[in-house]
Amino acid sequence: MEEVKNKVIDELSNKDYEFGFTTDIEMELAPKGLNEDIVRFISEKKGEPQWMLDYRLKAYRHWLTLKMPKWGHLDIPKIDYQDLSYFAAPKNMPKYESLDEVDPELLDTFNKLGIPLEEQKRLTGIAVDAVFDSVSVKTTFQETLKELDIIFCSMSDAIKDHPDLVKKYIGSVVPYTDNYFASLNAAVFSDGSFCYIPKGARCPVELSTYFRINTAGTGQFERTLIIADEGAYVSYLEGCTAPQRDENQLHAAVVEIIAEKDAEVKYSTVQNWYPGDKDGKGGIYNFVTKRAICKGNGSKVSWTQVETGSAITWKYPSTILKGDDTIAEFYSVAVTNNHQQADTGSKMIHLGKNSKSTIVSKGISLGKSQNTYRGMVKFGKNAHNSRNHSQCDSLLMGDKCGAHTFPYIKVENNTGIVEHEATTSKIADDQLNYLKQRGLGEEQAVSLLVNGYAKEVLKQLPMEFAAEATKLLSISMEGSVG
Amino acid sequence: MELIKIRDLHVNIDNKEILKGFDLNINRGEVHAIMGPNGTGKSTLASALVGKPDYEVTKGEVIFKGKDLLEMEIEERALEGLFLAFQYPVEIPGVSMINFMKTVVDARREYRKEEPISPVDFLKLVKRSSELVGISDKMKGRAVNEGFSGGEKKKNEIFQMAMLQPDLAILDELDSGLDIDSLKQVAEAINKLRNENNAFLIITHYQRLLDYIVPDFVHIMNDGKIVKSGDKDLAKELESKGYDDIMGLN
Amino acid sequence: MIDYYKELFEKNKENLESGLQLEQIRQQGLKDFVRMGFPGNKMEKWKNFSTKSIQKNRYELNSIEERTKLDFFSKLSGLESPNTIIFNNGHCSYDFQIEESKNGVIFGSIKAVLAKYPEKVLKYFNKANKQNLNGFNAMNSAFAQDGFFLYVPENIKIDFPVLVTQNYNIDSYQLINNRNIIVLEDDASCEIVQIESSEVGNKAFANNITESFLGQNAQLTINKLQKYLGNTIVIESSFTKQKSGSNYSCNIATIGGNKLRNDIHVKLEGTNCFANINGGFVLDENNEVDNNVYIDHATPDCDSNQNFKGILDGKSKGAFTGYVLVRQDSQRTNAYQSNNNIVLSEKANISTNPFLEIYADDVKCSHGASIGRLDQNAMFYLRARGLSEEKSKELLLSAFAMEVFKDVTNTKFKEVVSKEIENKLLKD
Ligand SMILES: Nc1ncnc2c1ncn2[C@@H]1O[C@H](COP(=O)(O)OP(=O)(O)OP(=O)(O)O)[C@@H](O)[C@H]1O
Ligand SMILES: [Mg+2]
Repeated sequence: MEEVKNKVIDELSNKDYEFGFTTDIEMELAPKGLNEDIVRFISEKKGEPQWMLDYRLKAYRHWLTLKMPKWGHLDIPKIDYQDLSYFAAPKNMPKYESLDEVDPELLDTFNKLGIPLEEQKRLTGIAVDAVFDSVSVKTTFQETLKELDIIFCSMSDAIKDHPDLVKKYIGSVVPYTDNYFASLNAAVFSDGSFCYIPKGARCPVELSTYFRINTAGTGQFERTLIIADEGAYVSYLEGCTAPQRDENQLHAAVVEIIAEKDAEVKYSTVQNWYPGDKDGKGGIYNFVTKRAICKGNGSKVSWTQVETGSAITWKYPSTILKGDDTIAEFYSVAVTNNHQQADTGSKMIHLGKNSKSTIVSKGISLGKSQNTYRGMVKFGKNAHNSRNHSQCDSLLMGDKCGAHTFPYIKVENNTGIVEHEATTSKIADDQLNYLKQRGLGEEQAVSLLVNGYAKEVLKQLPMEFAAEATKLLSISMEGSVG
Repeated sequence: MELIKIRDLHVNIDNKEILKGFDLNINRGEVHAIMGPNGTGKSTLASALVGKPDYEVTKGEVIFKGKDLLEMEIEERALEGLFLAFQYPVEIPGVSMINFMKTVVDARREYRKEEPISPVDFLKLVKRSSELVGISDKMKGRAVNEGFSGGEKKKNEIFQMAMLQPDLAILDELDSGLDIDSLKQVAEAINKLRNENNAFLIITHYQRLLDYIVPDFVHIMNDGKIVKSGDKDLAKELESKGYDDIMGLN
Repeated sequence: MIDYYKELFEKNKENLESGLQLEQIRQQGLKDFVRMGFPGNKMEKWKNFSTKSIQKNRYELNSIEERTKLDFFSKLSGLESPNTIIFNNGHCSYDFQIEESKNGVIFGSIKAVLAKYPEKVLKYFNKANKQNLNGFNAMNSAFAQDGFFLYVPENIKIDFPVLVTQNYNIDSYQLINNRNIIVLEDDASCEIVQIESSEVGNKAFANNITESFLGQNAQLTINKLQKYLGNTIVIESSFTKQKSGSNYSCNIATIGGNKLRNDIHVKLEGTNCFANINGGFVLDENNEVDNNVYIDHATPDCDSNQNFKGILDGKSKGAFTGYVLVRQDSQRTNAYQSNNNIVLSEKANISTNPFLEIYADDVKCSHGASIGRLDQNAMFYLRARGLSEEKSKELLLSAFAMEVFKDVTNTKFKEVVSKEIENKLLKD
């Protein structure tokens, strides 16, 4: 039985990265290195107004005063920030008016990723903004959205076309002083998605962004801003892939979400950046700051993430429950394999009355990986009658990996209730034996149990994504199902 | 002699009106039964009478032993002699049954300006009551209701009733969860405790319990008030015809 | 401030050495203390315990030896033992020094034992706490003055619980560093009851270390009551090493405390060990208590259990950090952590951090933590039976806190604790 298990694990570990192709397109690259001139260069390339440049420079100067955070349960090799290029764009293609203008090879890339830009997504009802390295390529589905006055465009366009909205909200949830990576992002962010749902509008389609890092030696720093005005609703999906390269690539994104009174935002991520090969070579360093604010009373934010990629993940999608009667949720499945390291979790900061939050985190560690849940639940003095329930489970498969749980719970109000539960174990032998007694092979049984284990999270995903996520998860399980 | 008088009682939960003008008089020595479809407010009536928080009385009055019941704190009502055998008794880990009963018995005696009960008398009382209801010594040693089966919890409620000898006992669905032998034993216990000075209000869905504890009056409740009253035959009629027919809905 | 302690050390070196001759250990302690200094709030492990009020004062070394007050015993109600050692302000009461029984048990003040059997004490001194883990531990190594020493030879079971009492009552800023050592050889067993207290006017700061060594199949139970009044600041660190088959049970009842930190380190170094660490704390006013438990599963097939419960009233602050480390080869580990708290007042606050760090796969580890109010349904049930709101509350709270001591077999100890908890609750 041990043998079978080892075989399963071996196969899982050796499973190649499915999206590891590169695209040959002429790129315009900024010279390597980071200084004020580079920041100006990025801003100029993007034709930004002065206020944006000023913001970037302020952020850059602040970043210089900061040090890389060390508190994660991560072993991060030294990153030479001067050896990266901070801007890469397909040459001579700042913007596409119609799909015909798009470089066929680029289109092909997206097809390989399973994201046909127009037709197919119209069928599935997803509006896609595809970010290729640093520039947003094409936003589909514009017309449908226009009718509802929903703005869904690239961040660069938003800065030009909706400066007031951007000015009002950018940095309002994640200030450029927030942390090392957020600061860096504010200085050099390349592009990303911008989304504004006006009062009372329910966005009828799932909005979606695909991120892909293509060029070697570049960093990708997208910036996403989602605003749901009073009573608005939107569901937003984010997918990430990168080609297979031997050196590590840096990804430091910032996502800000603002939910005004009675608004609801659902944010789902399937993160599948290249995790490096089975010896730990290559892979993305994913240092992401994602934060939402339930600003108005009665607002709701829900994060769902399926994390299977990246060599190192450092990510804590968080919610500030500022309004009264607000709701925040965090559902996460994180799978680490080979030499991957993940330190991920959520923060729920309760400030408003009757605020409720839920955390469900499922970690699965294989190979020689380290998988850490780190979370914080805090009830402020005025968070009367608030509630939190957290459930953090870790599954270990193999005796070379680690699973760690670091919850921080702080309560300053005597009317709240916090409940936290966590378990760490391997797959239960009695469950395995039960399934085997019913005729399943070891591999099938393991696969079934792991899927069942993650189900609570997967079922939170929008339909279109759930299938994809299950498939991704089964990249880990595939080798085991005969 | 009149024990309790409920007049035009209106009760809200979460701003939703559940009791909508409930009237009932119970004299000492009487046994009343209340029947009615699920969700009509039977348990709400019981909870409101014993003073459960969040049950907002918006209108009406309740006079218990000549005093305004609604003005009293939860424990005052209990000490005055009102007892509720809960439909769903609460589990209280860490508080042993014996310690709990001793504390409660003494609280009652203190209320009546009596000395605390002597250990010997207390043990006698415990023995008598537990034999009457048929609960084991093992149960008495455990924490209040913790890990008790559904039937054991019900028996434990009646054990407490036997210990405390209230003036008015409200029994909310005593029969649910009890096996047939236990039901008989518990009913017999109640019959033994029944006398001309106390009274019972029995909430039930089934005739079966009323076969053992014969009521003087049967009331049918629907949508927050009593819609029909009669003697013990009303319950039998209900069993054969069903609510719709009895309430004249067909 | 560090310089101040360097001077204090130089000034008192001879005096200290004449009491406990430790030489190297003291020098190393001072060196480590100077290097590490006082732990600051920025350090992960000291987030919930500010050392500012300690750093603010210039503590003198305490040399006041006091007679034991007789009325002290009356407080113990039934815990008296033929094996008793009494400390006042860190000094062993002079009429008790050392006791040796025929079967080889040695029990006494560490000062007396070190003088008579230096090799016995030095074999263990700082051996469970090798690295002077933090500034305070190092400070204790440098300034250690007294403490108790208990040695139980192979196969010996001490029948009566050993009683150790410690009381602080000094109205000036004095520093107390006690070092206790408990050694249980293979198959030895004993129970220690510790009563730690201070008086309202006390200003002394106590920084104590207890090192325990459990041989194979040894069984050690520590039942401790902490009741500190006044401005007492206390840091109690314990380091326990367990050999295979040994069983360590530590139960701490904390009744208030101006500023108290318990650091409990357990290292499971043999297979089939069990460590069972329980704590109940009842706080009010400005009480501040920080409990930290570190359990290192260094070998396979061991179990550990942590169960802490807190009741917080007034403006009190409570914290629990539980750490379970399961090393790579420690297969078949079972570890459980639980911390539940009830917050009674608007101004009280609590933080709880149950941490698991796991590198072996065949394990069952879990934790649960909760912060909440009294169970309102239970309150209602009790009141509906005729108990007053106060009485119901007291009954439920005391049951809540006492639950962590359910495995304690010493009923006398439990009675005393239960009474102390009720008194504390009634006061509010
Ligand atoms: N805490 C509550 N909050 C909101 N509604 C409640 C609450 N408790 C009861 N209700 C509602 O009040 C109504 C009456 O409930 P109640 O429990 O009194 O019914 P019942 O007659 O005892 O029913 P059953 O025969 O099923 O026991 C139901 O519609 C119920 O859903
Ligand atoms: Mg009912």
